[in-house]
Amino acid sequence: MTRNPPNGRELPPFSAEFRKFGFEPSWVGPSPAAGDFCLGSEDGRLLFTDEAGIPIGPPVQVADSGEAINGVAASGKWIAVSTRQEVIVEVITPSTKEEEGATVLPYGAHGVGVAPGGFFVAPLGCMGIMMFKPGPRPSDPVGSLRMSGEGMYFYRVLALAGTGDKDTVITACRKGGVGSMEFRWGEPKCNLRTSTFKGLDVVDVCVVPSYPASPTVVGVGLDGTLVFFRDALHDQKPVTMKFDTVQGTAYRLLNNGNHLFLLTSQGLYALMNLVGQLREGRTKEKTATSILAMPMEAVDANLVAGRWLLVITPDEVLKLDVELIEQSKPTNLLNGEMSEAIPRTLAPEWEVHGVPQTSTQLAGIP
Amino acid sequence: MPTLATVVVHETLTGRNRYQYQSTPKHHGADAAAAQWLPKLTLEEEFAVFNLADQNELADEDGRLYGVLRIGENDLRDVGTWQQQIAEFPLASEGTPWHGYPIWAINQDGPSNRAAQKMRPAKIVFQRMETAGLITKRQRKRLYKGDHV
Repeated sequence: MTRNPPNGRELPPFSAEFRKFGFEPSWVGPSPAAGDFCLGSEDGRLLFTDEAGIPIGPPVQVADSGEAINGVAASGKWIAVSTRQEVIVEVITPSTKEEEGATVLPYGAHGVGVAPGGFFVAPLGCMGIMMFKPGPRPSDPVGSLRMSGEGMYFYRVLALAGTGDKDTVITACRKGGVGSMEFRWGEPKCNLRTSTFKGLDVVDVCVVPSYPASPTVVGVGLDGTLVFFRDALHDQKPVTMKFDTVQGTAYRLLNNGNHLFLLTSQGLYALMNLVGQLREGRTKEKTATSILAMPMEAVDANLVAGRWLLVITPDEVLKLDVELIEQSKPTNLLNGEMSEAIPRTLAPEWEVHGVPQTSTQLAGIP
Repeated sequence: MPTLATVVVHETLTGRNRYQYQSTPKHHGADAAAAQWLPKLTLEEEFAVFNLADQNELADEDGRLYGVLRIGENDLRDVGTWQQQIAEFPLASEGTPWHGYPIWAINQDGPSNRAAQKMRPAKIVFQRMETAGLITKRQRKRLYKGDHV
């Protein structure tokens, strides 16, 4: 079933079912528990749905502060939920009385993610990066560390498998650029490597399939400039490019290993096969990229299972099928327009810095 | 901006309530730990943020005013050095000029001082900004959850 909104475009039916809960979505992503998708609300609730958007049970109040949820991540039996007031950690499905209850870390974050090493990571803005690992039960202390930041602003953090028993942490540091560091849980010191240039303001990063010793990372600047690191731990001069087709202020950058999806204040742009082109080193060639531009008013977006692009708009949650985007089926593309574009390759003066990080035990954590 | 060594009291009063405004050294380079107005912003533009806040009564229940600086129809200009896009003007006591500083949507405080929840302007402020046509619904929703627009 599809329905026709006033503008005549066909929209995938997705968000109608949870409107009855008075649920104003602020975040959407993969479900760490029941169902396929998880939505966070502006008043601190979580809702799980199946692939069609049908709720699996009513929304659950997770953030007692009532703040808007901006991230959800899961590791093992644990779920972590972030807001700008706190990060909440609890067992997803308590099986005993002992496992009930939540630990509230009183640090506001821009989101939360999980590292292969089993700990959570959360960007705290000026406050640095918080890393935390729950104990066996909610009543046990949460091991938590904070990387100091040293004047950096941490807006997004991702963690991926590094070499040996280390994890690699990748960060969007706004005017500090893209940060990368190898980190082993428990080590008090590490070095954050940052790459930036004058005028760059990195608002999101994504990792594409690559080797642990040389993680391939793409970052996006506020103005839509893309920075491509074949090896984020070592590159001195990442490929820097801008598509003039891409308009607006950048919000999110997502990828499914082949395509990049860039959400801006003007719409959603699918940069088809660009990841593949970059990974193959076809950056010097003037290769055209197919760009599907879907004008829309969007608040946030996420990619689930490499296939579903979930977009929060002021009044809806849209679900777009990447497979259909690849096939360019117009009825499923929100009347998007496909065009070919050759990016402008930029040659900025990159500055690479080492920023020593010292982890400290967080105050106020039980 | 202008880095300020002394307080600058603006001669112009706000259009609605005839409030007087002052730009302070603390938020113009004198205190690195405090929120700083963007150097590119003139003192007149800083006053314009305050004047717009007063004009549209963008106040919370404690009387604090909040302002933004629009670019064209659809964008907000950064007003602070940490890419803040909303400025706060705490309620001034009788006979004292108002002052203000960039505040949101950055995350700069932990539990040891002012809590993040209190850093965020009240929900009603975002709604008033939207009603006044200063921000769109999309912008309200992004700013409310602590993201740039």
